[in-house]
Amino acid sequence: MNLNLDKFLAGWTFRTSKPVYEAGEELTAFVTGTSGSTPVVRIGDTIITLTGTEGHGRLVDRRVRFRVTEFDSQNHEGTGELLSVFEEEE
Amino acid sequence: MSDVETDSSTETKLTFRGGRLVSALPITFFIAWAIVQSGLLGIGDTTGLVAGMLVGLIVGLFFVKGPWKSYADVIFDGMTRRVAATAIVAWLWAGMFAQTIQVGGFVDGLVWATTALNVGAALFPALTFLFAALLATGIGTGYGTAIAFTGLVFPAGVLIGANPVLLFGAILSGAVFGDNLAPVSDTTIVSAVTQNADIGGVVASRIKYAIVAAALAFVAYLVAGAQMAQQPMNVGGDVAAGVGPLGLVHLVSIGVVIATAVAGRHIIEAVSWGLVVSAVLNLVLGLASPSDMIAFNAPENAALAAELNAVPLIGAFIQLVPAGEAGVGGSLYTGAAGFFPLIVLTVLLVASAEIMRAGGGFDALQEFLLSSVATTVKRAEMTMVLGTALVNATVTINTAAEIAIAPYIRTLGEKFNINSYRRANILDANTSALGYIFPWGGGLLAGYGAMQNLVNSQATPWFTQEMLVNPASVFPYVFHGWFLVAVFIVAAWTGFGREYVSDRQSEEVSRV
Repeated sequence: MNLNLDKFLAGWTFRTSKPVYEAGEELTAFVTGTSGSTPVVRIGDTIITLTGTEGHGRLVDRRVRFRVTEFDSQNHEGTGELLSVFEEEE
Repeated sequence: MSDVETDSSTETKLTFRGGRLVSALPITFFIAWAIVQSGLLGIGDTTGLVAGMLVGLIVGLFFVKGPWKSYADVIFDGMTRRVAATAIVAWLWAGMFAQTIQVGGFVDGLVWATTALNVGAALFPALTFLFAALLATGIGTGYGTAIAFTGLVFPAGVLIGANPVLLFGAILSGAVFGDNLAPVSDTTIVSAVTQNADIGGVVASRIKYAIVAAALAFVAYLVAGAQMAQQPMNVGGDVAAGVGPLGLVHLVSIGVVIATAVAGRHIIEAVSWGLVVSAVLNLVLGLASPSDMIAFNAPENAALAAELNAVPLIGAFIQLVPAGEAGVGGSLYTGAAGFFPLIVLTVLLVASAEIMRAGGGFDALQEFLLSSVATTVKRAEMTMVLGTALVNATVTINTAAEIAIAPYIRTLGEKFNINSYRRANILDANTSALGYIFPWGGGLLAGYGAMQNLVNSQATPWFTQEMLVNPASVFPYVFHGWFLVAVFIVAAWTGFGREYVSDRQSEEVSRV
């Protein structure tokens, strides 16, 4: 039987509160708020501003997939392009 | 995946006299009731909490602005939420499994192992912690473990000179361990389903915290056990007489459940396999009869009862009893039925959380927390750890406390994209730990009840009223509970074990 060893080994690290990403990376995360009217994804204390969100309605608290387009690893801020929005089970 | 409009048009909004926070009235009333009932009066009756929740829901009604029908509609919306159904189904299965390995002599096997190893008073508490942890991980109920071990292993340890207070603390520590880690534990199930994570993945990701705390606790019991050991008592007789090792085969049943759950199978499938294995082991090894698992206790005078009883196979499930004692029984029956009060309470609690959501109470509280307390991910995690600890330290039935706090953990955590596994682990560690430490904690009360039964009982005639452990003196010795809370405070601060939503997705849990 496949015991999925990865599941036991995941997270055995001291994870930073300000994760760093690179342009081109695709991520799945919750939209956590807005800056003005622009949807923002906060991962830990890292902030990524989303573009291409027109026509998707209210995105806050929805799970989305996006591609990082720019990332400033000094300020832990970046922008990302919205790819898709997940339909939640609830 | 889709581009569906976000605002659900079916969601009813409620307005309350006195503002958004008044929507928290039903659940606040319930928590106050729970503290008075269980904390102040020492009544650990779950059905009593159901009454408290019902009264809370009625009280809230009088503060609704506009038609009361919308309030009623929200109650229905809450009760039909998937999280309640998922927890209920998992509990029913877990209850049947736990009861079936108990009728198969699993506790007897552990008692046998504890005494057969013939350790001295100094080692006894550490070993008791290990075996209690093993039992609780198998049957998923810390309360059941506290009762079984206090009734069976505790007197054996006291006889050989182990310190009673330390020994009781070790039993409760083992109960905490299993309550926290077992895939069939009610608190594990609640922590996973409320954070939308799969149970197997939650258990796997939880091991790192549990093992660190347990290793520290084990060493602490070794050290304290050696320092606090007393002279053996000379009373003659053997508490563990008559129990054998055979029930330990149910370690296989437990292994099947854990392995299947971690392999990503739904908890219903995992526990069903464990149940099949345990039933087969019970029958093949003669550990339990068919009627120990399913029994139709038919009245002797009933038509056909005697005839059916004589039929091979079917007859094995039928027992003829005096008319007044008729009913259905067996481990599948009692295991599932044991969860009925908790199930009703859960459905009502989810309804009251829905009222708070519809009335804007969650939003109000969340805005306050995010603007002034949980301003960074570190502080958010610390708020989650301490908030869960506080609620669980005040409410006796830790599962009820966990259900009440779970929505906050979810909304707060999602605001920082904290992974569902991490949220479930923060939630359950403090829930499990704090429920067994203080003298009003349900787990401690359950064990204490079993200890009171020892006084002048047939099996332990030497156990006197004076030998009872004062429930208020145990709290410093529930080492695993304290270490588990400490591990999470350190983990929140240092980021140990932290995972973000973007790091990995949990497998879908709502596949009931």
